[in-house]
Amino acid sequence: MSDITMTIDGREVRAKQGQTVLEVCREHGIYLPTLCHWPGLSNVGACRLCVVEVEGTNKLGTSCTMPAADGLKIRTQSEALTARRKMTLELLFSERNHFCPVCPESGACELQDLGYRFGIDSIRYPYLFPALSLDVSHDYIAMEPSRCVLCQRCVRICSERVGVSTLDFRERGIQQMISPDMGLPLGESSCVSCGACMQVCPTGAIFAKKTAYLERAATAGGPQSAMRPVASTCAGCSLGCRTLVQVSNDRVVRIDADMEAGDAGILCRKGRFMQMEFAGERITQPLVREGDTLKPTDWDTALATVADRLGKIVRERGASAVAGIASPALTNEVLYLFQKVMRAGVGTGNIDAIDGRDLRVSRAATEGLLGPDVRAKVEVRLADLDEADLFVVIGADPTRTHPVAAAAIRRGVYHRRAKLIVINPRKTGLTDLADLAVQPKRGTDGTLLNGVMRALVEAKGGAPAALTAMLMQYTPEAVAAETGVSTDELQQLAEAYTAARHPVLIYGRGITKQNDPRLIATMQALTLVAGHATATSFPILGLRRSASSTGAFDLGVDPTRLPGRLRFTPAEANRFASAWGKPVPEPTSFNANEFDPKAIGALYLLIGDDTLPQEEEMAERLAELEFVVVQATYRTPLTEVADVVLPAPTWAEQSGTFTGIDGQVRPLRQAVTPPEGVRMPWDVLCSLGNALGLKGSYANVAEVAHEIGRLVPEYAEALATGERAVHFRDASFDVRRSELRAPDYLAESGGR
Amino acid sequence: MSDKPKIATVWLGGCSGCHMSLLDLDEGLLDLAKAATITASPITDIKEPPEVDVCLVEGAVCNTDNLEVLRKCRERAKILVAFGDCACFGNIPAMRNFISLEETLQRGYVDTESTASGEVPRGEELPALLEKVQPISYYVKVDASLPGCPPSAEAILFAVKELLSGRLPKPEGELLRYD
Repeated sequence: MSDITMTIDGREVRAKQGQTVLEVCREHGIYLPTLCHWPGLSNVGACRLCVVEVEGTNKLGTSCTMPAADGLKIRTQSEALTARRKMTLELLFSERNHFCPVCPESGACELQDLGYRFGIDSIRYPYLFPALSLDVSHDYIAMEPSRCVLCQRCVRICSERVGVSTLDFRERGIQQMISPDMGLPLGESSCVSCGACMQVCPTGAIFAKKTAYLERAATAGGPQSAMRPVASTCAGCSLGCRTLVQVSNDRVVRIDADMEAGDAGILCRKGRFMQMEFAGERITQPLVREGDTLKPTDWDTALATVADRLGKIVRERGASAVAGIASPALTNEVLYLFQKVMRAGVGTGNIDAIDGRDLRVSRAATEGLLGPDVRAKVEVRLADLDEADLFVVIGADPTRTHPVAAAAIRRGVYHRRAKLIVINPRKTGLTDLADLAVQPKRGTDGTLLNGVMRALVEAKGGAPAALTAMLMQYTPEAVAAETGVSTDELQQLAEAYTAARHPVLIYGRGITKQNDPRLIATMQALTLVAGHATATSFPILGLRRSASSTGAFDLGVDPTRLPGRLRFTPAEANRFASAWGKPVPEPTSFNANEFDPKAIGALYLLIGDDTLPQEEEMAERLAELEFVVVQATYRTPLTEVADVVLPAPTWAEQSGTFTGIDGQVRPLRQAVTPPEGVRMPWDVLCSLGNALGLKGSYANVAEVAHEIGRLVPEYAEALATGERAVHFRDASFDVRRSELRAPDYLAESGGR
Repeated sequence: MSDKPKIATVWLGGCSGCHMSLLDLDEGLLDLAKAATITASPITDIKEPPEVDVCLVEGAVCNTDNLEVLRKCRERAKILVAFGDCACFGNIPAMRNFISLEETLQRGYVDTESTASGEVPRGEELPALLEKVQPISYYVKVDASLPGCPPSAEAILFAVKELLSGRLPKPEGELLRYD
């Protein structure tokens, strides 16, 4: 962008071609009032407040849409401009019903602020008093058109960032309304409940149905209750959206997207709303079982009980009779300590994350292609979806599980005309949007992918001879017969993938739960053969379950890995043994999903505030064990079958870091105080470790992070600065050096 | 005594909160009483406003009585001040503008939670509800406005001081609030 010079209020300023006059003014600290402008959204010049005088014309222009130009001379302040702005504001106030005393947004309203700034103490125009209806049909978002100034920020963000375009206009002129789906109540519309509209709305026209007046007390209630933002990271899924947790009087009153963090600046139903539903019976004291009931006790007794009972089972049945399962929605620091206490404290290698299998199966695929010592992350990031011209979503429904990823897909489809292919035996939230939706029979994904690869190789070559030979059996007819996908659809799929320049394959649990690394390896091979892999990654994105699913795997919450994704070697085992002061047990084949209740005598279940899948079934299995410890925030079927229950904080009550699917380490920052009696999980694990013979203690969670950094050097800088992503690769790493060995993809039968 | 400026205050369709805020001047009221004569006011309980220099009008215009009183005040005051959000903007009383008069009266006198057998009062002596509730500027010329729900004691003090100094008050900064 070239430099230009313009004159603002008699002062020469430097600007860049491509900027708007408003941007130039803001950069130079020159005030201009705005109401409809929002950085990052398109500019529409709707509110007319940012008007400026332009030398050479007597027309006023909206600076938000005016391109900065060399030699342009404008004035931002004058009596006439002030008079015009006041008139505009008075027209806005009189047009609809702005009753500040009963509005949830009073004290945090941009229209109100402008009224104060311009000293508006009376309205010269007669009030219209239109009778407009409040829409509270939605679970979380209320719309009050009486307070709307038609800035259309909501319309723009709903379209430009979220991609659903639920909100738009109906009618014109004085009748114009913001309307969901052309006249439906919001609760019946295509709204995906992300709340982006609510965050950008300058007034109280769109507000949080359940917590609006809580926020109001915080904004208008004086300095004691003033709302303060805590910059944090969402704990809802593995994408790691940055949040501003708004706190007042030691209570979370709202969760905002951190729109300046550099990501898409949106949240989803989970991150904005459901994460605030701190529901459930809170556990505030350790509980120990006496017969049929759980009795409250003190921490020392509880932890001593745990240490004693675990010690007893280790002596009687061996350490392999003890297992530990952790929720990867916990922080890296907690996850690291958990595996340390289990390995070095208890002496068992039976540890796993709830979704450990997903990570293992993906890793097995990568190692099959790149060799067993490769630790590097090989997938793309969420941000890379914004470059894609084709999305192939297989075995996943991001509209349900990772809505912010679904928004990235929609943005691509609507704004860049990217193509979308959905491969799923069932209909998903993206099916209707797809250019092509195929529904292969369950378990036939491998065949389908091989069929696509065959067509690709036939068209463009690019595969080694052995692989090409293997692919020949995947004729369109054979693939159609096995998968149920028509040869026509198969051809379309293959053509689309072949033609794409930046395709991204997105997979989810529909693939990983089949527990077959060859499915993922086939995807990787496909991208290699098509020539889309870069040095550092396959254009593939695996949607993991939890905030630190990747962190859990990185830090050794896996029966086959040591922290740092390291395989067990005598050297590494010794290194950790020296650091921890106790021997490190061998790897095992323990699996959180399918452990044998007869082989396991004791289980330590570290849940926090996570909700586990199929809790009742799991509780039944746990009930068969000799000794169960559950460290959780709320009473659930799982705590009810435990022998010892240890209280845990919610996500909002603790600090630490998460590692998202892109390898980025992000901070979780404590926003509110936990109830009396609840100890931080890292502190509990430290005490338990001590009771089990581990030395050392940590003054705070940062010291745990230091230890991780010392033992996993790749994490040191990331934990210290929060800037680096952790990739575990070196400069010579190149995904394209994969060996596409045909037998790795061949199944014994059926070509899977 | 007769050289002191004369002040009247009145409340129309308001909750009297602005007058409570006026009372929040606390000992400042004594200073006010020294500097000006407070004539008709709900506080002094003198009903009929005489000719005054300043009249503070709280409340929106909701019924014929409000309108009559407002017009009387406008006639008799050199400076008329819209006192509080209801007088300035309509505010809460104006929220009945979205429903019909019949519904309003029904809800207010018959369907109330605390009434066993309500009746809409009728009688010639009763003021009639106006079709729409309006700010006072809808009917009369207003010389100065002091928004707030209620305006703070500081804002009121500021306004009174300005008026006593012969200036029309223009509240700004912390003194200008709509809430």
